[in-house]
Amino acid sequence: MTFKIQAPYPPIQVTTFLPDPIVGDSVAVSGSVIIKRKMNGSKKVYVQGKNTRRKYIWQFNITRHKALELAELINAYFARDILITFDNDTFIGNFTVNPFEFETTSRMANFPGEELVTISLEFEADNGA
Amino acid sequence: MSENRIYAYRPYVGNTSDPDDPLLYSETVPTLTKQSDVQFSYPPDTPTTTLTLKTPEFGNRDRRHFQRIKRDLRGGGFNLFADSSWPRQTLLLMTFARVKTEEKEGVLTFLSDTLGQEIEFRDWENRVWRGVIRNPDAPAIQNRHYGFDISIEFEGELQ
Repeated sequence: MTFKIQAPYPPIQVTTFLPDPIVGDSVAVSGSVIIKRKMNGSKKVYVQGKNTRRKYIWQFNITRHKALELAELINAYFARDILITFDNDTFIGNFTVNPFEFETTSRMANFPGEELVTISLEFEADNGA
Repeated sequence: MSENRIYAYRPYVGNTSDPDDPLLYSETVPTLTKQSDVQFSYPPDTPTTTLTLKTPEFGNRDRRHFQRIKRDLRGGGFNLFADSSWPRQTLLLMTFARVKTEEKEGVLTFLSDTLGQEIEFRDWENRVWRGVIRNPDAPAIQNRHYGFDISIEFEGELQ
């Protein structure tokens, strides 16, 4: 199983494969509420619904060379629609994290670039796209 | 699926007739040559002052910030927009550990002499950057009996 990123969408121009994200990935409903209390004690709730939009956070441990490849993709398509295929699901949306932060955490002998890089990607997409 | 595909620099790069697409990037990995030290030089073209330090500790960060607009739409979706001419920042965050006492003065003098000036930075992969040190007030901290730690934030562009 791999994590496939294709951009832009459509038409697809570049495809990059990443290893699976590390355990700890998350998905959340992308909505918010504002609660106002009235003078008589009752409350009024304003909802900012975002339909079926969900926010995904994936963290990756990748090689230094793969980090360079991902940096190029982000540099080119950070504001474009992206297609992600992972775990038999497809997601069409956008990277919403800014800034993107690549952290070199340790050596990784015998792998391309010989260093281990960690990056967290935040992505918003419609559920079931 | 080849395992190498998820470890090596191997993007599938196609082509498109869309004139709005950004320029395609290289399909070959940049040449990286490991160095045992890094070098800051000022002025960039004809350096008269040079600071050489050992490579930074692991945990260094490459932070990329993009100017873009994100607008939520009434229907629940959102729009992202960025113009290719809008500024992009690349920030290198590095910590140099165990800087010798005699080197420490050199670092502080270099930071003072190049305050706000554009400098050249040759990194530990032999890539050359030009930019500015964003935290010239970086303290040299003595965390152990021997040697100082200094964290530097360098904002620049890869040449």
